[in-house]
Amino acid sequence: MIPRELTVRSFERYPPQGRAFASSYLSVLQRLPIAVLVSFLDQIIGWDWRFPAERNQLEAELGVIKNLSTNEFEQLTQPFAKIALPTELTHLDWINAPPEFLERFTAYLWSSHQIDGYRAAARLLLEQVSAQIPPANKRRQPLVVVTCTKDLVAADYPLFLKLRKYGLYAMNIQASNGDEWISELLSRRSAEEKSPYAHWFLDGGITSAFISAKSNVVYLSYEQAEPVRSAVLNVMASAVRSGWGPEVLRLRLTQLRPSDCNAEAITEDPILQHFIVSLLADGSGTQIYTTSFVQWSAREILRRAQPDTLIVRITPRVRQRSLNDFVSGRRGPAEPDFRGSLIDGDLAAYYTWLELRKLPGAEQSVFLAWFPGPRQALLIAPDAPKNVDTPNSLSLNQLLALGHLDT
Amino acid sequence: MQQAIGSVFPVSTDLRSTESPSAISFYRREFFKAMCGVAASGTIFGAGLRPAGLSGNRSQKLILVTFGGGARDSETFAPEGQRNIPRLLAELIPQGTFFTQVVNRGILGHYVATASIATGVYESFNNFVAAAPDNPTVFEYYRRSSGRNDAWVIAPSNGFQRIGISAHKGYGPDFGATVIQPKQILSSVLGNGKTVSAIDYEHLLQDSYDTPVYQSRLTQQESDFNLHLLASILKLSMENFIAHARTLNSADELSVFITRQLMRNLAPSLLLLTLHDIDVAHAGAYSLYLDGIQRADRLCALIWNSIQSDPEYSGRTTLLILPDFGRDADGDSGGNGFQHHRTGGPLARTTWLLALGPGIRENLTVDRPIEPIDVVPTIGALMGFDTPLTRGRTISELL
Repeated sequence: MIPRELTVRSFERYPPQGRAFASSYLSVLQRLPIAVLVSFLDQIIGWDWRFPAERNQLEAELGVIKNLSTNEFEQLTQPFAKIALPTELTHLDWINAPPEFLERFTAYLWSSHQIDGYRAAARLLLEQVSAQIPPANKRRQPLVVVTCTKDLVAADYPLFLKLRKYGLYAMNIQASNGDEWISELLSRRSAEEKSPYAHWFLDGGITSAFISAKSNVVYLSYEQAEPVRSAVLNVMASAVRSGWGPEVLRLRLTQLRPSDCNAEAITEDPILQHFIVSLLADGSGTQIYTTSFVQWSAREILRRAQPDTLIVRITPRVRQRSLNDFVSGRRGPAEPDFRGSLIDGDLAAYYTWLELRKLPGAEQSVFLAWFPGPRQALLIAPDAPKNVDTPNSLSLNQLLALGHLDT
Repeated sequence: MQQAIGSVFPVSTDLRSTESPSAISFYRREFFKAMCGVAASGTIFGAGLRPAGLSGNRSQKLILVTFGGGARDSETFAPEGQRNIPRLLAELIPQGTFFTQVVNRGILGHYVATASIATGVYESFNNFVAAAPDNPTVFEYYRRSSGRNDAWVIAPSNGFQRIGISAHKGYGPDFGATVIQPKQILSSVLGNGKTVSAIDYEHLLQDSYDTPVYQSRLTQQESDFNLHLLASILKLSMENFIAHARTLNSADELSVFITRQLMRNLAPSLLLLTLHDIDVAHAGAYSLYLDGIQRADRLCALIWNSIQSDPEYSGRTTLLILPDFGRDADGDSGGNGFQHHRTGGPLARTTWLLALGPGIRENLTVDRPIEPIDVVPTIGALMGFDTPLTRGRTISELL
């Protein structure tokens, strides 16, 4: 099978909405070289479980490609067409099993020293296509708050070092009722904008009842994801027993479905079920610690759901344990690492901001990192001072007011 | 082999266009400018005179340390990272020649990349298979030329067991290095009926942080070999070894303990030590990654001080330190920053090299790009043997 032989029937094993979407863009898909086509198919095969923002973006990208002039199309896709694929790759069922193809294709690119060329070609295509996507309708001012539990402290660690030049670094925050403040903030914003997946609370710890009770807020926690994490660790345990290599293991993980992980026990929403499975089984690794789970999940929520509001709460992780230790289910030391967790959380704040910057409308966004243990915060907002430190005592309301948040 | 690319449209275009290898070396140059008050771009300054006649000296010894696995500039030489490498900055670099741009053009997996450093050729085998390198290793060149049998490797257990001997027909087992895997020695001792709890030593047995690893039980032959190494080469009783191991904090500390013991008892002329604690970054916990860097910094200083205080090594040993590669950039849409090295981006490919020892100029920074495969022909030139099949070039500043 080569791309130009694709027909509507080629996608008959796709879920219904994905099948319909592939059919509507069949003429584009037929023209793309396999080396880039399968990346699109990987997204389309999961279309039925994509967030609305992801669907809009993919549709826009394919729309741009469809309307490229012949010359533009040739220029952007030629580097992919030049990659000679070995027959063991072309003989794979790349239509119905894109992850398997991509896993092996990536290995091939590395071993044949073509990864840099592929990366450059992908980047050029991405830039050119993104530049031609019309700007989205004006959206609400995005707000992201990254906070942590009070017990995270590290006296000798300089917080927010990577972020300070972009905003106001407040070294003396007075907030005795921080949880309530966050809850009210979330309530106000979620009451005004009721689109699905617009407001999120990502929690490294246990479920906070007052948050989960709110309507219009997606609540996701490390604890809540336990069934999926267990399923992932079971697959890893099989890998350890069977001697699978990492490539087979990764493939098995990408094949996990919500029904394999009891994800239905977490939420009834199939989009969220698939999202949670992908957080732990796909992407950037297993994220076995609570801090790493929260850091990665925050990025993925922003990238995929493009919410209006995201609250991120870092909690202490356990001290270092080996992955094999987690996999074996042995009881390891449960002693928390408060200092390490603060440092993890500091980096998580930075990565969350990096991801926020990529969203449509990011230039109007408000980003607040507030760590109550050290009583320090950092605000990045269009009207807030940049590269400024203040030792003044400030409340959270006073600080946020400097960001001129809509709500 | 590496993480699947997934989508070519994972996010936005923020791929940090400034991250060319030369831009990455900027921080390292700036550090020297600040420290020495002179421009350092490709400039030799403060150069101590090298003693004449050392080039190609067969009595010379060489220790190669990989600052593994995978440390980025932002946590080392960038201003915010310098707090993690105080010993390198304050003690070692002023005594040596520092190369700000070592560009790795090969596969960014730890075993295959370290094997490429050892052969001077970018190896292409599957990183996750314990395969012998296709090309002769520096140990084989050395032993075939010198007729000596004192080339050793201290390495992690995840695949590195075959790094000492290539599959090349003209070389192979008769000329290879003996590979010590400290964790396997510890496992052998723990499995030898000693009345100690293995749980107390698990932090020293960690090897792979990316995925869980299948570890077959050691065969009796392997275990016997490890115990033989311990008793006959390292001159350690099981009791003493276990007691000392209990005082250590990590697998790298165990490796350095074994290295120093080997230096004291056998004084090998050619030694490769692979540090690996930093690769804990794969677990996604930034603080653990920083701990690994700080530990590697301390251990490198410890090795240098061991060289200086050991009459067998002092005054005739070159120490080369380089990372196997870096890690992904924070803003790279194809990865998750420090956690992995999957994108092949410039930050993951560009590292540094520090050389110290007699004949190596002090306080010299070199900004021209070199490659990790240049290390083998340079070692050959320093120690007086040919490396005919390497693809690298000798690093003239070290000769």
